[in-house]
Amino acid sequence: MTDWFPLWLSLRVSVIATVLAVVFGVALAYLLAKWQSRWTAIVEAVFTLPIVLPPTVLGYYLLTLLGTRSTLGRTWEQLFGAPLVFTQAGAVVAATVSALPFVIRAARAAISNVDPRVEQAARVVGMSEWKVARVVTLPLAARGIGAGVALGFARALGDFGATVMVAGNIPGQTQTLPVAVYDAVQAGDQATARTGSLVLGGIAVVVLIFVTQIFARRR
Amino acid sequence: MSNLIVDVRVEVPGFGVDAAFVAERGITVLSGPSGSGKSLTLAAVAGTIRPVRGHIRCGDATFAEPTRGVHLRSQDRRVGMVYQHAALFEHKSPLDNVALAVRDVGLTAARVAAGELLERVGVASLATAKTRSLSGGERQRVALARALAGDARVLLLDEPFSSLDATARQAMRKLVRSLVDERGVIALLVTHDAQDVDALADRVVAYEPGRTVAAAE
Repeated sequence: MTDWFPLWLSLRVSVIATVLAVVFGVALAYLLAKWQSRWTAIVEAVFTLPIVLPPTVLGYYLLTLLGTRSTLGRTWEQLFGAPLVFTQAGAVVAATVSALPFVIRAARAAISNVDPRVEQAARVVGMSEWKVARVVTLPLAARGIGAGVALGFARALGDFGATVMVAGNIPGQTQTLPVAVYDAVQAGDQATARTGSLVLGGIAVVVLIFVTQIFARRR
Repeated sequence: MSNLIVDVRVEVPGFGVDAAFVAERGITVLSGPSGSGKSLTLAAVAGTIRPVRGHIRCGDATFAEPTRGVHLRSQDRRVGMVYQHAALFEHKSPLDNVALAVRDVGLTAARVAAGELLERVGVASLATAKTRSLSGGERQRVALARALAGDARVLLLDEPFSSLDATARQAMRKLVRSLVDERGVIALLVTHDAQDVDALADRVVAYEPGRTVAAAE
């Protein structure tokens, strides 16, 4: 019988990670798009690292940063009574960090593309900066942001290296679907590997079609 | 009677303009060749760019006076602006474009006021249309309604007729004239078109590249 826990966990982790990546990513992208200084290039580079780093290396950094001997890790343990690493929360952190650059880059480009005269018009009619962002800039940038969110979700769902480093590979606890596929191949369980791969491949195709549609409609 | 007093230098990379004039109620046309700094002057009055020196005052309010560190936010100047290409909020209906500019009331009251303004500019039937689907003339009417919705005391018109065909242009001129008179606002109109000057100008401020030359009645 197929064990559906890894799929369920993967979906749950990537949905939560995507929500977190949208909240932090869009806010950061807005700041990067509006307040350009020499620091913005550095900040953007740092948040783009997860795209270019080997996922295991990213996982290693996170493990070092959040492990039980680190300040952040100890603080988390004091607050929540359990370590962050090798838990589902750890998997969420790994997936969030993996998804963030896709959201940030897409959102930043989309926000920069909004006609500044329209934003000026909004200020001139009396809207506060917060209202300009909420009512004018972000809705006009929504499609581009949506594409980044979809790609970020796919990346979060598909993450293997960072997740296995930070959350481990505990069946029934932290074993996500990509990790389960790896495990199944190692154990010679072709049926499970095939099912898991087909499900992940199918979701990826749906996401990519969605992204293509977003850009097709823009023109 | 409050006037708009402009006596500033405004700079952007590679260009600067010295503008000095006084505008009263009615239509003051800023006239001159492209690139002489007319639109830059409007941007300084709207507050979207900071002058480097001088001052802009409107009645009791100082809009900008850099030497005293004064720069009133665009939001607090109570100016209305119409751009060459309307710059509407494309994702909102014409009604909401105007309603968003109505100040100090709730959304329902803002929409009622917006509806009345759209009626006044002759596009009431398009209140809930798709903004993207409007013609150039319709867009400028919505933009004009939006510019006036916040009880603007100063109306800034940056080549509002230049993208319109002759018929729409003629109609829009009439509309601007009647609304400016009806509301008693101080209007600054940037244009290249001599016919606009003939049809609308109560006063003319002539520009040459980088400065204003004279104010004539």
